[in-house]
Amino acid sequence: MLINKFIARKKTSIQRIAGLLIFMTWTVLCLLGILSATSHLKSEHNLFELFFTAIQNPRNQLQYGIPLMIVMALIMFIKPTAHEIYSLVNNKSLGKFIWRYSFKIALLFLWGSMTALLIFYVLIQDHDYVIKQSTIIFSLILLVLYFLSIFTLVLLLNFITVLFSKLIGLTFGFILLFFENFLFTNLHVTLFFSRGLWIDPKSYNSLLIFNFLIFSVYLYCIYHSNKLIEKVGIKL
Amino acid sequence: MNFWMHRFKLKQYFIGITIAIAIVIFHAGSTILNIWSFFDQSPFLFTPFTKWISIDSGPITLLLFLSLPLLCCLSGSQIYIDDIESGFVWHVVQKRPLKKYILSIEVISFLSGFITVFIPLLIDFVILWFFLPYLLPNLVVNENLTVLNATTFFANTYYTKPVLFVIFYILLPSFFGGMYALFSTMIASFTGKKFLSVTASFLVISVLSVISGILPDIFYAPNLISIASSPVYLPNFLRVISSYLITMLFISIAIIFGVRRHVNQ
Repeated sequence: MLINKFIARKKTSIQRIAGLLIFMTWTVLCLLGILSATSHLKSEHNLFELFFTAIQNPRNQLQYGIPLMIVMALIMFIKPTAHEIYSLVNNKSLGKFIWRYSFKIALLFLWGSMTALLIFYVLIQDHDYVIKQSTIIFSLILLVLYFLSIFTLVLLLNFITVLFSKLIGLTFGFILLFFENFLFTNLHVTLFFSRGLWIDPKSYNSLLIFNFLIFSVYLYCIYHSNKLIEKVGIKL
Repeated sequence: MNFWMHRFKLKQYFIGITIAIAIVIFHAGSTILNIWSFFDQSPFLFTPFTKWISIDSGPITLLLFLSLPLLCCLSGSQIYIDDIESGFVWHVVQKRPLKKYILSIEVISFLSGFITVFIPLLIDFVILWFFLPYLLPNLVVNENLTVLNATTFFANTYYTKPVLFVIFYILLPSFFGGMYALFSTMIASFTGKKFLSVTASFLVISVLSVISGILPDIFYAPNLISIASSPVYLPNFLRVISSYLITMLFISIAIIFGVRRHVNQ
């Protein structure tokens, strides 16, 4: 447990500044996304709808959102050294360490997106944008899905980074992205990102459940790959 | 010169160019295979000038140009950070003047970024030139192409002097490639972090791409404007040149300060 805390607190000033800059950049990007989405929404003025239309736009996610998220997540992740991995494997906490770190990074992205929404709401002072109470539960479901998609991706990247290196993690992330792009353009299916309000209304309920299930399956698989990771970790 | 040539024997300095060449070979191959059966019907539509990666506004074009900032940094621009990590920089500065070392690093970094873009774009054109009929573009026949003044620099040249146009659109992204690589060296000279230096250009350019979509009058994304059939509206060409020169000057001076700060520690 001590080694876990030690690595979590082991940050240089550059890494702290980079973390802060990344958070600010992500917030600004989400804010710009929300601002550009205002021109698309003419009849509806639900704030949550605007938010999910902006942050879960497939084109934005594939071209800017996810590539930037992959790079930012890898910059924020501090790869444990060989000695630290040895201690973590001895304590059987390597998997737990990566889970905790990935959760923090995913939470930071979610926090950035929410901050952007808050800034937009405070700055715009437009009474046309309202929070419809009837959509709060549905919005929360979409938010959980969005968080799960970020968490799954970050977790996978961090596992690969620990096993190999950040550059290989980056390459893997981009290969995954191209694969996702291929699936989306040819089959209109995605595996690693949540499409939220951009799903065809006719297949909405089934795809929402499918998304919940698929992210749970991913997380289950990654959780159970802990033992494998720890076995490999011994060899590192 | 021999010394630097020896240093370039490492495979890691060719990752970027290898990936870029793989992308353009995939583009050229898939283009030729897709249009093979239509050659006899309408050869005017399928020429090296109409199907070249920078003109062909498909997903592979966007993929290549969006990933160029990253690919350019996976090149010789990593020499400086490798010197820092291995401690070789301390050995070099004892044997030769620091100014000369910094100049060499800057030139190598710029050239490696330049070549990482130049060679793949040239290869794509040459492959298409070998297989497709060499017919010059025509304003009437090729009206379906998005070569317009609003999205292409010197659009008229495309129909009058297409070879010159292609050379211009090979050189423009190559110069930007040099800038991405130099930016990477600058980040390396200040932070000393390898991953951060490799990805910094990509981060900045991607953020610029998003911002330029919202504020096109103030910002522009170099990777998007260097596509011949650009997906965004172009800024004034003089503005592009002046901002490029100012940025290059700033980066070059910053590298001098960064390296000096590191060596004098």
